[in-house]
Amino acid sequence: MSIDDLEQRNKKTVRALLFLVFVMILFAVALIPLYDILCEITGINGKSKKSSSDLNYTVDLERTITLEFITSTGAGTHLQFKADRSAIKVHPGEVIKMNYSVTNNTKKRMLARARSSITPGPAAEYIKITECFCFENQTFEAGETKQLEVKMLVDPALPERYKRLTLGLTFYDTTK
Amino acid sequence: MSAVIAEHEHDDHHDHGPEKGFLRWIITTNHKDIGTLYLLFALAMFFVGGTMALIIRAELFEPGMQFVSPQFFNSMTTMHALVMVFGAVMPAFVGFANWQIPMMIGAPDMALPRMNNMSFWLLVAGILMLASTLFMEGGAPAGGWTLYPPLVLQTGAALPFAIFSVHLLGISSIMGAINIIATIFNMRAPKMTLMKMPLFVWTWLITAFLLIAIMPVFAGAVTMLLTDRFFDTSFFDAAGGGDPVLYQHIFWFFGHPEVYVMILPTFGVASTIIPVFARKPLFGYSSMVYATAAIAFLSFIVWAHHMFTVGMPIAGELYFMYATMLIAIPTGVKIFNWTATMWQGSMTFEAPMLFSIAFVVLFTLGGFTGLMMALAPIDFQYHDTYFIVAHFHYTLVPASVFIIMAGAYFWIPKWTGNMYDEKLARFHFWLSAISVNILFFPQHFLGLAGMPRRIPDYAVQFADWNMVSSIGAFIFGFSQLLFVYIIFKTIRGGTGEEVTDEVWEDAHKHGLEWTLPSPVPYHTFSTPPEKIPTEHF
Repeated sequence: MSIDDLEQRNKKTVRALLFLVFVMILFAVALIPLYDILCEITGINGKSKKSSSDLNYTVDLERTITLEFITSTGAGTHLQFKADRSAIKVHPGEVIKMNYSVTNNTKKRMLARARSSITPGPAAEYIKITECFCFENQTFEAGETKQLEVKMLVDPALPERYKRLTLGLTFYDTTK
Repeated sequence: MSAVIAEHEHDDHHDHGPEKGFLRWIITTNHKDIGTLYLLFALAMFFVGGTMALIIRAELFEPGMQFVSPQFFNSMTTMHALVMVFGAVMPAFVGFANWQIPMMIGAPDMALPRMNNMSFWLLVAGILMLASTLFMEGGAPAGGWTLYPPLVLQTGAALPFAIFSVHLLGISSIMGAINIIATIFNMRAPKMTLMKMPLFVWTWLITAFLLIAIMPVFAGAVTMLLTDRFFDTSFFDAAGGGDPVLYQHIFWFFGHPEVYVMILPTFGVASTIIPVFARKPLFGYSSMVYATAAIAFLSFIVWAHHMFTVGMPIAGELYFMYATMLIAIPTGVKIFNWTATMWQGSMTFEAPMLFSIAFVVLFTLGGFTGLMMALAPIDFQYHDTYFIVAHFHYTLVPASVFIIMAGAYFWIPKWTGNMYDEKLARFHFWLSAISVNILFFPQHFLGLAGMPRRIPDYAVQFADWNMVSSIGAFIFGFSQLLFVYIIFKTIRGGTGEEVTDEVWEDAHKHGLEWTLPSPVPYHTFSTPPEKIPTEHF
């Protein structure tokens, strides 16, 4: 094999491998939307979406499940954030309202956003949140206390094995 | 041997040896010089990372805070890992690859010599940049080598430097990998078919593909960390609708193959050394090749076993559990093949063989603890305890690091033409082999008892075994000064014992490099060899 041949072959190999590098960079970027799509299809990360407010289920009085409400705040978010009740017993299909009180403990106006998460993750698709302060940004004046509400229903199609579900809400300070 | 003679005549005609003076080491494009640079750099970083480990073990010698602040302690665990992975173990194997691959396949040099030089100096730049973070406001990264958000985003001024150093190290690795693949694909001697390549070359070929596949992914993930911190994106920030768990998925998609980047060349060197000292061909050559490829493939589909406690659905836990346990099969094939190679062999126990046998035994131990942690329900107890620390140190220190030392003792007589001091080397082996177990074995007990990793202080019930572990660490650490002494003594003349061309009895049957003169000339195989060793096939 002559030196020129070798150079040609090396160039070809390098080009092919650089292409592979490029593909892997694209793959890394594509993982972000792929992850969201995968989570949406399988519902494995407990994210919930806004459900339409005209949902109407027959209430299943035979079944009772426990709904737990947990609250937390992100690092550096100085809000006092609590649900009125830590847990309630509900029947699938009935409309549930839960009140939360949020106090801005800082001396400044704060823009904050809450994010919801349902545990266990695969049950998230059966929790229909129709109204939630977590769907948009909230403004809190310095020292202000606000009462906020979540409205939701549990789909009676919820598989039998789920007896206890948890709705977690976390507030993050998003003031710029 | 005709090739060697031809080679000598060639050299007489136009003699271009190495550049004179210090500049030789800066501008060199010779694969042997670059191999030496990589190996010496790795050795230096082994001591930098080792010093950090000793700071950690000194702090953990007794409960309570003794020497360093918790912040600095966490910087030490983070930097120790990054320096050892990217500065010591990976460069050491790249050094071996540079020295050995061209000689093993009968090529005159690497395919892309100038890129070879550049990838070495980028590595140095990357590591220097990483080391510079130690002196920055807010300290070096302290969130663990996995750089998990949101914790890592609390790093001070060091964050962008750490991320750019990861970019540099990634570019350096990718260039090195491209070079190795191009060399193996295009530069083999005419009779050196793929299935006749020494196993070291095979394992590096597969490792190089792993590097090309994963480094861009890691670079992408850390770039997203950078934009999350400075450009208001929310890839991993829950406040903006992102998901921190996504980072863990991307990181371990890189991270799991990355650990095989460190272990596959280890397998390759062990498969090269054991047959020579067992005086038998390697048992099951083709199964070794296929097992390596199988391990590499599996490494891409098991990543989430690092994240069993993150809250995955049960189906995911089961899948990753079974897929992970599958890796034990090709790995077991390898371990049985090494054992079968030694079976009824005429073994002698020179230092390289001692280190290799210790590798087979102790790597198996590390493999078994890996299998234990692959069990999702059991992993919940072991996760983030000293048990995992013991596990991956068993697969890295008495495995990768021991094999790097075995390779150094094995090849240095060929490279320098001088024999190392066998007595001292065996003393170094026994010191290392005993102390490494004093160092890491008690960490299994600590982990099972529930001692968490990455903490500077601990409950008094863990005091005894931590003290034992720290004593082992200091013996192990200082024993390595002996290694440096032996290596430098060998470079400067060694024992004065004559070194034959094949160095080890009948080694010429095991590889092309042993048909070259010792010390090996600056340029070798300018014309490809006509015959290749046939012992194995």
